[in-house]
Amino acid sequence: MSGLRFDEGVLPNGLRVVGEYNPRAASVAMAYLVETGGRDERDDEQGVSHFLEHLCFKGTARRGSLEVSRDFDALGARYNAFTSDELTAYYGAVLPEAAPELLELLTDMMRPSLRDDDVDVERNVVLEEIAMDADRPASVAFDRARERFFAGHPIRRALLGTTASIGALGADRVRAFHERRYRSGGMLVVLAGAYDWDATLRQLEEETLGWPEGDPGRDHPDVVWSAGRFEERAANVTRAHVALLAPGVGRRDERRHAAALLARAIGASDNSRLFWSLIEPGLADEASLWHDDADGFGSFGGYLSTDDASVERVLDVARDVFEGVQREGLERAEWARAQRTLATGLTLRGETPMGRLVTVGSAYLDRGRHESVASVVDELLSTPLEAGLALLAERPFDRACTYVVRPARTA
Amino acid sequence: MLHSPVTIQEPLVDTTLPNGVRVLVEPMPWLPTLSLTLQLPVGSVNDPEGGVGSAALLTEWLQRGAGDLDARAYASVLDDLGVRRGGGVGRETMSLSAAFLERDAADVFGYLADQVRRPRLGDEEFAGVRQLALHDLAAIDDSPPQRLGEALVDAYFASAHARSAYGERADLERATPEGVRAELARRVGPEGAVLVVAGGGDAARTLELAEASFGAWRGGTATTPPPEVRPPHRRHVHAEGAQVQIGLCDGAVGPTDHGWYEQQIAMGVLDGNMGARLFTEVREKRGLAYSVGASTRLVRGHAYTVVRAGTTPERAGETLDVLIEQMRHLGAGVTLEEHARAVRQLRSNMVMQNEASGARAGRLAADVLHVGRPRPLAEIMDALEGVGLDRVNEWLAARPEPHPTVVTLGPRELVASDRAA
Repeated sequence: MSGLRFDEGVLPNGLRVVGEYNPRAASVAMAYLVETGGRDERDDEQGVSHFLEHLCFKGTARRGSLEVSRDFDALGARYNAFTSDELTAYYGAVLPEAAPELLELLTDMMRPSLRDDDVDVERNVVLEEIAMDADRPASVAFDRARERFFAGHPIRRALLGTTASIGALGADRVRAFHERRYRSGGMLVVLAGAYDWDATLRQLEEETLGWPEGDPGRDHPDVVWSAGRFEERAANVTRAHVALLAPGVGRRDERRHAAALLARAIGASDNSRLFWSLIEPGLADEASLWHDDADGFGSFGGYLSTDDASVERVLDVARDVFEGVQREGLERAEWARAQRTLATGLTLRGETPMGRLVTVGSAYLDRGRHESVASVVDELLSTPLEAGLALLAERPFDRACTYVVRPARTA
Repeated sequence: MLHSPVTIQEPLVDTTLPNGVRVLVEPMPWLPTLSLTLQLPVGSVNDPEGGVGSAALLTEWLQRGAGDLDARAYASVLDDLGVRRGGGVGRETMSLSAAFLERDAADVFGYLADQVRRPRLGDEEFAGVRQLALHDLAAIDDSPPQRLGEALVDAYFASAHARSAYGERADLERATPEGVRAELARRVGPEGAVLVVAGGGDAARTLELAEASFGAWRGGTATTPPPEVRPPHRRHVHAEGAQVQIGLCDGAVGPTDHGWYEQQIAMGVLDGNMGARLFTEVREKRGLAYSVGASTRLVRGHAYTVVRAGTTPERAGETLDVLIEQMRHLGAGVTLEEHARAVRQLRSNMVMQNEASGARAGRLAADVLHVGRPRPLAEIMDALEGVGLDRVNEWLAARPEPHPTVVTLGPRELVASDRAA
């Protein structure tokens, strides 16, 4: 990809702006990354970051409750938002001529009105989302596994909140959270594709004038991993769903590529230790492992799905796979395959501005630099097998937390 | 400084090899990657009676080794080249796909062609393939939206299109390696196959590779029965859970019919995005559901509209009422602003969907199936631009009143008292 350029700037109010300019792109994608998520909530605020994400679509001083979405649509935008443990992202992509209007709209959304009526209607929507999640056994298994694995750390809580916590969240508490967290020093604007950098900075400076400044920061309580095997039986489930969590490494840790490659060699969906042990023989229909690098720590995540009668056997086989790699390591060829397939995946995602957006922004937030597709591919390809073996030598899967959701026993 | 997005469309190569394989090559010379899709007209719709699920078994089995290589060796040579591969089967089509660096094209084409030209279909893999298919079928039960989707199609179609792409349990259980191999010989071949390659590199060389790899392929021919639908009716499927899934299904016009673009715009008004009517009426104003949507689905020779929502039992009656009302209310026409928003969205989405090589290859393959030819992006853009408000509203006014088939899935059937708004 030729002609790529990285842009970086900070407005007088502390708002950071970065961009990866691509002259061949047919679109412009942009996002506000707010450094706020589930882990920044207090005990009586569970679910507020995600609730607030919804409410940012429900109107501003300039726009009524139906006008935010309508204006996105009028720009022909593809757009959405997501909330994670540590980030709330609002993003959209348009054809280049609509870029200034999209920027204005996203900027306006960061100052939502949070009117009582809108909060009440949207509360029902979030309660429906929680109900939908309750019918997804894999989500239930992961929520429960997190409660145990991250016991004592705010990241243990379910992002959506619970029926009780959302039911009790009044508009005043949402407003207070917004006031505390949505400050210019705790946000990053990211652009990707065919944008106009100078015009963007000028527009942002004007439109964010008077925003509350400062960086809300974040607490970093120690993470104490709690291992164990847990299970529950549920009436709305017909099969066994297994969530697995194990200690990994954080985003600023140089071992993060090794952790990602390790996860791929052990648990990629088409050619990996778990695939050949569980999927190929038809013991399980899902058996995957990945690595999530978070702010200050990280974790391996794994998911297994099978019929109820086979769950013990599947867990035994998975344990043997983990024990095998921890004891004997990986072969050089497996490592090289993980490197190449991960590199291709990265290159494919980089084909569109939208595919670059959060990656470029997160790299900047986490490591304060631009990481092009080419540079990350180089880093992956030059990560030695020995780095993976060193991680395995710490025997992370001995400290795994496993949570099984399985069908209720029939009488 | 900003260039026109129209440059996204480069000349497309569209040719049919003497053995019948339709080859499309879409150059995207700025990309280092190539995405390839081989689409075959093989799916559950032309599975034999008593062998429903054989296309699903075949799709998985074909990916487990090819040529001289067993499953592990085959996966390894492709991984060594960094290939991201995939395979999938639907009611009407099976597709084998791969994405890779353009410089490796010569090697990758050969290996992929081996999947259909020199399939391995080893006995040692069959038991695992069948067991996995049974798992995949059973897993639908733990996903209410997917289960509703299957039930809706089953209620709507009278023809074999009602079958699940995952197959039927009893048929999967009695499937044999010989039986599934016979299905390969009968149905998998160059006739009706579409090979689409989108991405970087030289188009002429890509075409040469396609000819060299697939030109000598011989095999069977699949035929698909014409679709038939049932009269509108209601069906409830019992399922424990926190939510009720609601689905509505009704006939629509297809991409080669008069009114296709009018319908596209009308559907954009109904459910283009979060500012559209369904989202506004169901979610934004009433808070009835988190998930709600509408789409036009295609099988060859028939198009239909699907409208869906998931909601808790107390809100299900009102949600269903609003969905039906919104389907019908389209007949009263759309406003100038709604029309403008929908057209801009459809055009803008079209450009953005075509930025990625894989999505572009998928769209072109679908075009061949449903339109009979790949539509240039400019043709779609111009057509959308050319359908003004009056044409949309005239078409909507003349459209028959919707009478959808309604399927609900949840802990209890919606009764009359639920329907009081």
